[in-house]
Amino acid sequence: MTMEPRIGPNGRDDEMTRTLRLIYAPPDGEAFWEGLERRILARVSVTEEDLWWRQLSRWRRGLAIAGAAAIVVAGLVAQHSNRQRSLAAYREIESSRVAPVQVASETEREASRDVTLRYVMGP
Amino acid sequence: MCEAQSGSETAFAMLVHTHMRRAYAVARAICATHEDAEDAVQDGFLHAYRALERFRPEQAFAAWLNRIVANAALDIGRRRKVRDADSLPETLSVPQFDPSERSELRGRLSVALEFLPDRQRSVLVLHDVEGYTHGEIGVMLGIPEGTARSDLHHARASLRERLRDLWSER
Repeated sequence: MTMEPRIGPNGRDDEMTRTLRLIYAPPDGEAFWEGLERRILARVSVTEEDLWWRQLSRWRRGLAIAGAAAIVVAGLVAQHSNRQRSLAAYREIESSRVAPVQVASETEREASRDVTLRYVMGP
Repeated sequence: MCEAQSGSETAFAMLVHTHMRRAYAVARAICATHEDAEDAVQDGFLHAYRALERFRPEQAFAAWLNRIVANAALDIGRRRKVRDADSLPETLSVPQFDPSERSELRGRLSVALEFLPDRQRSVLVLHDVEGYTHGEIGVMLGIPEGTARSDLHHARASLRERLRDLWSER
């Protein structure tokens, strides 16, 4: 295993590291740590907002699945009702189209019969 | 850990008690001041508390927490930079050596550290003071391991250059 060279030329490394540790040392005394611990716990202590947030978070997966299922069901219902509507509209068109066609063709037939009759009876 | 995840405040308090010193050290390596480091530790634990359900037991809790605290510290640093830029003085002051410092080396080193880019300083302190590996530092700071290695190299070179006269005097 090779050790990486520390700061400075040989012999100065430990002094430099010790000095760096002094500069970055946390404040002395247990009082500081106790105070910091208290402040951290005060910030994370359960508030109304946290309770709401945690409950929501706990139910998040269930809510997501229920939401997805609701979207799928709504989609299927919409598709089905759309198909029903299309079918009803088609049937309505089909049923309303029969009479005019018959009338038209009958009218046509009568007209051509009249023409034939006029031709036969004509001079 | 499982008790803390199921919402036990006592279990979470134990986690805070066990890990806050390491968390402070990580935050202090990244933040410019002790006060910012304290804020970062509090923010980090708050974020960790809220994200506990996402923590997977097969992970190392300390590494997971350190990453969160490091992110909180980087956020504070970014916010401070924006604030400082808004209130930039007309002439930039160069940090001066304070003669009241206990030793010349300490004073000179403090000044030299202020000249280092933030990330290089963080990498140097995390490696040389706190003893983290390049890989661990990379994970904490969200940079590739090679970048951490190169930052450390540049930070040391920069300090050596600034403190060259100190070495030659001794």
